[in-house]
Amino acid sequence: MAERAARWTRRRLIGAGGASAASVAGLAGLRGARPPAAAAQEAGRALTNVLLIVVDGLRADFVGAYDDGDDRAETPNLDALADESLRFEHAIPESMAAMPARKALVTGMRSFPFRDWRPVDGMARLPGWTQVYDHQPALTDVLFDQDVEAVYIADNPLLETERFSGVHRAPEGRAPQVTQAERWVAPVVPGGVSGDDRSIERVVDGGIAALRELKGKSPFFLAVDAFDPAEAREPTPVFVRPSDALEQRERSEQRERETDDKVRFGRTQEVETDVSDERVRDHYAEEVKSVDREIGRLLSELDRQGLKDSTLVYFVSAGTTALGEHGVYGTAAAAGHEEVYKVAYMIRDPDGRRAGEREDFYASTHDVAPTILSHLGLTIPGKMEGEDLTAFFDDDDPPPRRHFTSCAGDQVIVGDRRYVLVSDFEGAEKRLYDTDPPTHEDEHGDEDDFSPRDEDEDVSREEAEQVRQMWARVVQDAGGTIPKFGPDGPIRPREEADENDDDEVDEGRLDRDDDLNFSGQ
Amino acid sequence: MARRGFTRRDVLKAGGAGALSLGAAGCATDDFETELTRDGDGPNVLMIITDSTRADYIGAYNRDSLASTPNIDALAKDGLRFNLAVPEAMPTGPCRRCVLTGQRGFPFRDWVESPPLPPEPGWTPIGDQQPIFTELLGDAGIETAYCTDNPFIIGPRFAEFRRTLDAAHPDFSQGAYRAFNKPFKRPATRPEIERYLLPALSDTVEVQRIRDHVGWNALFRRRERDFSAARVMRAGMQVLDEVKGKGGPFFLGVDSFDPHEPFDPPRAWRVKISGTEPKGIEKEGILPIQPFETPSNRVDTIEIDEDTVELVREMYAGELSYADRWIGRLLNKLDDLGLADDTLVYYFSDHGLTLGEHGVIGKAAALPHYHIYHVPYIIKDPQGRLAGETSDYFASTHDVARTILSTMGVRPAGAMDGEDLSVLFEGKQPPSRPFFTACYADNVIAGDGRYVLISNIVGKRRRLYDTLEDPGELNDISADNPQMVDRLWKALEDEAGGSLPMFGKNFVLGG
Repeated sequence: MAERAARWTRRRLIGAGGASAASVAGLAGLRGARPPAAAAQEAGRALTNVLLIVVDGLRADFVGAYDDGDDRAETPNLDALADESLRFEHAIPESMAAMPARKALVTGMRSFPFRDWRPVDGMARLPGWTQVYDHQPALTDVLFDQDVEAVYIADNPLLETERFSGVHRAPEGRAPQVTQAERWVAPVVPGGVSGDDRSIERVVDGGIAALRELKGKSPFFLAVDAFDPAEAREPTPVFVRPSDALEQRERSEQRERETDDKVRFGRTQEVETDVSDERVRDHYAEEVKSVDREIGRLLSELDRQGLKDSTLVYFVSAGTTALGEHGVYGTAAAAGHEEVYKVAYMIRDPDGRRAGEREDFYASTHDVAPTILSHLGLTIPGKMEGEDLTAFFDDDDPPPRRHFTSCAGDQVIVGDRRYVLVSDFEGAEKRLYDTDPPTHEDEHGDEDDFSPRDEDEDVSREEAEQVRQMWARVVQDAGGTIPKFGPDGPIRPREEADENDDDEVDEGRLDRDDDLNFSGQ
Repeated sequence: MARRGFTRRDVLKAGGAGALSLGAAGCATDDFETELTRDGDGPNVLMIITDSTRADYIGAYNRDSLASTPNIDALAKDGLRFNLAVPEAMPTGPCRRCVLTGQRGFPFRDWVESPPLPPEPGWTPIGDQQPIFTELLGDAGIETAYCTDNPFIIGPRFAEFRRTLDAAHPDFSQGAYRAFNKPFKRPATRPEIERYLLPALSDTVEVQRIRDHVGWNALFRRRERDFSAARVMRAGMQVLDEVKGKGGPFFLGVDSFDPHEPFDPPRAWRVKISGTEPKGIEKEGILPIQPFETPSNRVDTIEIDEDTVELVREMYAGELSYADRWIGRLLNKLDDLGLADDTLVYYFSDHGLTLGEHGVIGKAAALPHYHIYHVPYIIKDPQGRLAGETSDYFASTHDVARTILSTMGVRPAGAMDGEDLSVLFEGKQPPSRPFFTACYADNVIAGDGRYVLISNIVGKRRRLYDTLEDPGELNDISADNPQMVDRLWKALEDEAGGSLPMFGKNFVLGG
């Protein structure tokens, strides 16, 4: 059990005003909460700002700081950031595709298991691909309500709705264009994307301009949200040869026409490529390098503006990328390796707390919004499900997260420190991977009983009980059931059967005989 | 849990530095070591629950209330009263699960039949993965205690919750439900039972219930202080005495099963409301303390007349008035110990019950009208902020955990769905909640403050009421207002995460 030396939420400390003085003077001033801004002014100090940097598809094992002995990564800027940050070593987004992951990021609510999916015009007709609904909370909304300047620079269409008209702003004349929108229409076909505009360059340009404008408007919130290095632009031909991509698209459209009553998930595509895994990885590393360079540009600007000591930097990759593991390439792909899912995720505290340290908590995209709100001393809407990770800076622990669950395309994924289970939504094809198989040294039993196990091997047959337990975790995290989808959204079971149900519900039941044990409410 | 190899001194410094960094950086010196734990100057939290309490039987909600509730009324005068608070999941078991975990039970998607809990959607024990707010409080060094006679909580079903407490004070005095946890060996005889038994119920399970109840009472109920509500409140007073000495902040939950049926308050309390003249079936020498076969009957099937229904209402009002009396004593104790100014008092109920309205008596899950869903809900701020004010926010049971944690400065778990209502005392509004949504067994309720939609979860029997024009919720206007029906149904689906589940006999089929 951790010492709860400082168990107060930051909201309480800020709200109380002069918390440090109070703590010295026997906490005399604790009661009587005031608005954070007023209390902060009274105490003669500035509230800190937040810079949220979102990239897409950046795997942790390609960032130098996550050193896995592989010297392919060249990420000096991210490494420097990591040296000053608390780094999450097992960060796994709660859903893997770009749209649902960003929705989780903005709302603090899980997109998994896509139960709220309804088809949206202009978006991929895939479960999970919806806009932020009006009944959902949004980080930017809460900030706006509390008079925190909020700027969100992105080139994806997530915030392109009426609701975010006041938030999704870029400085005058520098509004980034939505150039990657076409990808949202058919995200499962990663081929054929061209153009000279780099997502990361454009949003970082926007971010730098915004920083200059926001300076002096503390507290502010600035998000810089890029699509890179996901579906990395330069190496695209490696991922899928353009001609293949075209064929793939035609085939999938054909399939859609044929089965228009059944919803088409983002199936992991089988693509023939004559390129080796190593080349794919080299290209990807190259792309990561350029992303790193751009992040460096943004952070230097933060420094130059003198905002480094007053700004929390939250760096997160919203999605991940498979690079040939189990023969799978691309984003939102389901593979058995935990490495595929782990993304770069770090938080730099303006006061340097926990600098260079690590946590093995399964941090996720839905933790971003509550953590930022808590850091700013604001009340977290209850609908946000993520944990407040500022706890780690106060030597507290959030409630334990013993496993991770996520979904990618038509697959759900659950894992813990040892096993990863991948399955379709229906649970019909479950595959279990033992990522840390026992070795000869671990075995104390009869030498002859030991069968060596490969971590690429599906062991669901041998480990039926483990499969059952892992599946139960998926069901539990999904709230009790895993949805099934029709063309217009989730479908409820037995709806047809119920047509025949007797409508005489109430009156007859009021006098039913109930067992004594069951009737004590 | 602490994985970091810090010494205690380092930990304290780190904590201190964290706080200091919020303040003028110049304050930080190397020898700063003050531990950030609290003195005993509050705020503490006293949470009071009364089971089966209808808002319209509380004076603060209804000036013409049959019951006399001066103490709850006084609490409302000193606190913030929520005009339309609806428990998000009902009845007793689902509600307690929600209160303790801060997680919505609605729409019962995780239900699996869990004997010996009732085989009704929603009755599932607290899961291992769920946070329990008393545990978070305990981890933060706050003293936690809970006093209750609620037969569901004192039994094995909420054992996980009880383990989180520093002090659990179970009370087994609900005679009618005693067999639920401990077999009762000295039941009453048939003639004794028949004094309390409606003729129409003479061969139902209620016979057993009254047998235990009357048997228990004959043995253990002598004075008013021996009745259940008094015993629970007295346990609460005892805890207050104990924690006062300890000096640290505390959380105390006092959860009274009364005024739950059987409606059997000390005689004086019944007489106070119904007078000494026999009424209805009482004229035949029968006092209908358990006036329906659980969970409910139609009034005509148990063959009681209007006067008897009125008598039942008066008995309920008597029981509530008597519980209120003891709530008053508990609050006085808080005052006497000098804790009132340091203690937030949080009062609410888990559901109401139907007393003749809609031709029904008892709790009919299929007819969860205002008498079931509208409960009292009051928060008294220790500093008296918003005293006597009311709020139209649709406060609910899942807000309790977050609000209490926030009041005590403890981080809530992300899984807790409720809102932090303490922001109201700072002059702010919680995130908007344009609709209330609730469920009771396989029925759902949604409302916007004026219109109420009541339906089974399948959606086959959607009824809409305009509570402004029709406060009794008697005229179904769904046929004329399909848009409003759709709007409220959509609110239910949204709140359920996108779709509502379908229930089978023993578990959830999907959805």
